[in-house]
Amino acid sequence: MAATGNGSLLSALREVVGPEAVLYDPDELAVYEYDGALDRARPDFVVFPQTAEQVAGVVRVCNRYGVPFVARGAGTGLSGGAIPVRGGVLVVLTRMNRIQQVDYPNRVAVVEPGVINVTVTEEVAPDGYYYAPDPSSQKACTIGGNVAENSGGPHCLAYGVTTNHVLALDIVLPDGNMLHVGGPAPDRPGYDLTGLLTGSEGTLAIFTRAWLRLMRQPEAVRTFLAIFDRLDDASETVSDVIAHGIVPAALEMMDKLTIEAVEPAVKAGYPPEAEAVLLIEVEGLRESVDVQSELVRQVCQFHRAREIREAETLEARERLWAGRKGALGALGRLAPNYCLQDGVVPRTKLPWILRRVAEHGRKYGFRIANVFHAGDGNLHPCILFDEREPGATERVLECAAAILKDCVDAGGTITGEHGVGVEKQNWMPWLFSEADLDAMARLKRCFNPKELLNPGKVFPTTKSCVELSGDVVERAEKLGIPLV
Amino acid sequence: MGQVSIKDFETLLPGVEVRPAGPEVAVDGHQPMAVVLPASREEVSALLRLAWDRELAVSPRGGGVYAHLGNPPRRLDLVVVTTGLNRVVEYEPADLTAVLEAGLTLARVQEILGQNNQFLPLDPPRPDLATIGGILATNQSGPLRLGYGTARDIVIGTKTVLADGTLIKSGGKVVKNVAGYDLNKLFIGSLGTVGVIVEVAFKVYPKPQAWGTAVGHFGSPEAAWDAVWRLRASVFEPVSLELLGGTLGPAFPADGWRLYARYAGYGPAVERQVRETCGIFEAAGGEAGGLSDAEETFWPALRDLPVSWQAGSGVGVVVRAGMLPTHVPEFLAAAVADFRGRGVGWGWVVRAGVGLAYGYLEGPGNQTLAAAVDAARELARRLGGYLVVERAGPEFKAAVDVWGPLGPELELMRRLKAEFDPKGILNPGRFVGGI
Ligand SMILES: Cc1cc2nc3c(=O)[nH]c(=O)nc-3n(C[C@H](O)[C@H](O)[C@H](O)COP(=O)(O)OP(=O)(O)OC[C@H]3O[C@@H](n4cnc5c(N)ncnc54)[C@H](O)[C@@H]3O)c2cc1C
Repeated sequence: MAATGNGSLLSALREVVGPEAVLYDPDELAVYEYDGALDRARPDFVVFPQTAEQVAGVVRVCNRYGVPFVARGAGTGLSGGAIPVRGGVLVVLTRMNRIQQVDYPNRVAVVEPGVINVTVTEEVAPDGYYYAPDPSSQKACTIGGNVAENSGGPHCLAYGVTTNHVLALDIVLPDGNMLHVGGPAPDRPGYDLTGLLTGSEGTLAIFTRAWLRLMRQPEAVRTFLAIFDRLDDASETVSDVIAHGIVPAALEMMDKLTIEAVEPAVKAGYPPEAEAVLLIEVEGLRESVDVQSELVRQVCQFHRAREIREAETLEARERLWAGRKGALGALGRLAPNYCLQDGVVPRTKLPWILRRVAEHGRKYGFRIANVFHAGDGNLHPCILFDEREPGATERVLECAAAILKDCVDAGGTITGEHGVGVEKQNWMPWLFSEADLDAMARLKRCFNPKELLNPGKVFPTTKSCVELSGDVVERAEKLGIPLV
Repeated sequence: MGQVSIKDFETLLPGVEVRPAGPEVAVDGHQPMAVVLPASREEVSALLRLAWDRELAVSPRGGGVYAHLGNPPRRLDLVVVTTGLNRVVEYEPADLTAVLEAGLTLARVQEILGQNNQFLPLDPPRPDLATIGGILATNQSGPLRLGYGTARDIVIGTKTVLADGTLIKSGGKVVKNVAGYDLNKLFIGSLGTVGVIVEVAFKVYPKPQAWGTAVGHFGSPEAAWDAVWRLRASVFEPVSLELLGGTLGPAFPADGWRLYARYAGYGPAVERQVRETCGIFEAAGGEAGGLSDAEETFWPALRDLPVSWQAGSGVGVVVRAGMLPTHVPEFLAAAVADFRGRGVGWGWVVRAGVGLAYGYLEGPGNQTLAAAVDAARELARRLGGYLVVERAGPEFKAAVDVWGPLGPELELMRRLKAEFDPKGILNPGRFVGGI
C-alpha cells in the first residue's frame, strides 16, 4: 500500500487520529460494509476520531485527497445511510461517547454524537428526567444517527420526534470547518440551521455534539394491552382513540405473526391466538391518567377488544414493552431474511392500508408481519423471505414498493423515520416534483457542494444498487486496494 | 423603479388584483409602488415570476401585525398581501391534521378547528389579523410557547413559491415524515426572504377540557425566581409560565413581580395543579391565589402586548432577549440596573420556563434608548444569549441593527439566501446580516 498514492492518505489519517484508530485491512473493513438495511458497500478506511478536532482533521485530509467520506454511528440505520457507496473513509463516531453536561433547571443534556440513545435516559432517570425519542433500537443506536435520521419511537406520539428535541449542534462541515448552530438559547434569529440539519441523513454535515431537550418524568403511567380477534377492530381502535382527543404517550400495534414470533423469544405475555394487540400507554398527572385510561378502555371495548389487560407492576409494564422492543429481533427467527419497511398513512387510513399490505403479501407470496407506531399512522410491514431463493430479493423489493406506493396514494409518505438513504431514493419522485427535489438540492449545495460527504444518497439516481457495488470495485481497483 | 407601472400589471398579470399602495403598507417608511392581492398560489407564482424577471423587490405581507419586524428594506417595489389565500384545503378531524392556505387568519383557523373541539396550540399576538403564513415567516409564538413549542413543532408540510415563481412542496400531511430534507424549517422564521409560503399543513390538537391559572405576587425578583425553579422541579407542567415586572401599561399592575402559571387539561388535574402551585408560590414567599377569568382577560391581553403596547410620552421599543432560563435572572438584574442609570423606563414579560424575555422600554429619545438596547444586548450575549428588537420606529432602526450580530453561522445563511433568492428580490435587507 505504501507504494501507492493511497499510502500517504493512510499516513495522513493516522496522523490525525493515531495509528490505532485507522482500519484498512479488508477483513476488518468487512463489518463496516453494511448497516441495518440490505445494501452493501465497503469503505477503504475506517477511522475512529475521539474529538471534534480529529473529525475536522479527517475531513480536511479527505478534501485534500478528494476522497469521499461518510459518518457512521452504530450502523443500525435501516436505509443504507451509513454505507459508503463510493467508498472512501468511514468516520465512526462511537468513541465520542461522553455525556458532557446535564442541566436540569434548563432541561438540557449536552452529549457527544456517539452516545447511545438509552444512556441519556439512564443517566438522568434517577433524578426524574428522561430523553423522549426512543427508537426501538435505543440500546444500540447513537444520538448522532438519531439526529441524522430524525428518528422516532413509540413515545414520539405525544412528544414529537428527534427534531422536536434537538436544541443546537456542533458540526463539522464537509470542507472541514467547525461550526456551532442553533441555541441552546430559544428562537435565535436567522434560518433554522439545526432544523435543516436534523433528518439530513448524514449528507450535510457531521455532528460532533448535540444539545438535547430533557423532559420531566410524569407522575403516573398506566400501560394497557388490548387484545383483538380481528385486525380491523384493532386498527379502527387506533384511529378512534386519536379521534376522541386522547393523545396517549404511546399507541403501538402488533399483529398475529409478530405475536407468534415474539412470544417464544421474549415471553411478553401476548396471547398467541389473538389477531392483533395494541400496547397503549397513558401518562401525566394521576387525575388525567385516570380519565384517559377510562376513555381508552371504552374505545377498545366499543371496537370489540376481547380483553384489556393493565400492567399492575413496573415489572409487568417492562415485560409488555420488552415484547414490543424485541419484536424485530424475534421476527428475524421466523425467516432467514426480512425487509423492514417504513410507510406512513393518515391515521384514518390504517384499516385500509393493513388490508392492502395483506393483499400484497398474498400476491407476492410473502408472509408479512406488522409491528408499528400505530398512533402516528407509521407502519412497519416486515416482509419475511429467504434470499437464497432465486428472485426473492427482487420480489421483496417489488412488494415493498407496492406497499409504499399505496401509502403515498393514501396521502402518506415512503418513510416516517428510517430515512431515504439508498433504499428509497428512486421512489422520491412519487412524492416530490423535479422542482421540489431541486429545492432540496439547493440546500445540499450550501453545505456539501463537492458532494464528498456521503455521496449518492437521498436523491433519485438512475443507478441500481448492483451498479453501485460495481462502482466500489472499480474505484477500489483504481486505488490499488485489494478486495476480498 | 420605473420598469413597470400599475397599468402594465393589468396586461402582464391579467385578473390579479393590483392597487396603488397607500401609507398603510409602507415598511419602515419605504413606500412600495403597488399592492398585489393574489387569490391563488398560481397568481402568487405568476407575480413572482414577473418580479423575478424585472428584479422588483417584493415584500410578502399577511395581516401586517408584524410588518414592523426586521431592518428597513434596502428597496421595495411590491407588497404582496396573502389574505386572499384563505381556503381550507383539507381538514380531517379524525387524523388531527389540517391543510390550510397561508392567508387564513389564526382566529378563523381556530374557529374552524373549534367546531370539532380542536385547536392550533399557537398564540401569537392579534389572531384576528395574523395569518398563518405571517406567523410562520416571523416565527411568532405566545404564552403557550412553553407547553406546545413553536410553529416548527406543529408544521408537517408547506407549499412555498420561491423567488423565481417556482412552487415547491416540503413535507406532506402526515404527522411523521422523513422523506427528503425538512425544508419546512427553512421557511419558518425566514421573514419571507427565501419564498412566499402559500399553504401549510399542521398537526392539530384536541382542545383541553379545562384551563386554570395561579398567580403569585412577590416582593423581589429573587423570590419570584425561587418559585419558578421550585415549580419547574415539580411534576407539574404549566403550559404558560410568565413572570411580569415593571411598567407594562394600564392593563397590568406595576407593583413588584408577578408569576402566572397556567394549566390545561382534564378538570381535576388542572384544579390540583392550580391549588398546589399556589402552595409552591407561598413557600417561595409570595402571596398566591387562583386567577378567575384569566382565559378571557389576562391571557389575551398578555398575548397581544408585544403589538398593543404603547410608550407614554417618550420613545418606545419592544425587545426580545433569549437565553437559557437560568441566565435570565442575572440578565434582568443587570439590565434593570443599567436602565435605571440611563433613565430608561422598563417592563418585562419573561417566558420563564423557556428563556425568552420581552422588554418594553421607554426612553427620552432614540439615542438614549439605542444605548440602553446595545447595553442589554451585550449583557445577553455575554450570557450566551441574544437580543432582537421586535418593534421600533424607523429613526431607532437607523441607529441599531434590530437582529444584532450573528456568529459564523451567518456565512451559511448567506449561502442559503444566495441559492434560494440569487437576485435578492424577497424582502432585501430586512433579515439578519443584511440578508
Ligand atoms: C431493530 C431495529 C429497530 C429500529 N427501530 C427504530 C425506531 O423505532 N425508530 C427509528 O426511527 N429508527 C429505528 N431503527 C433505525 C435506526 O436505529 C435509526 O435510524 C438510528 O437513528 C440510527 O442510528 P445509528 O447510530 O445506528 O446510525 P447509523 O446507522 O450509523 O447511521 C445512520 C445515518 O446517520 C448518519 N450519521 C451517523 N452519525 C452521524 C453524525 N455524528 N453526524 C452526521 N451524520 C451521522 C450516517 O451517515 C447515516 O446516514 C431501528 C433499527 C433497528 C435495527
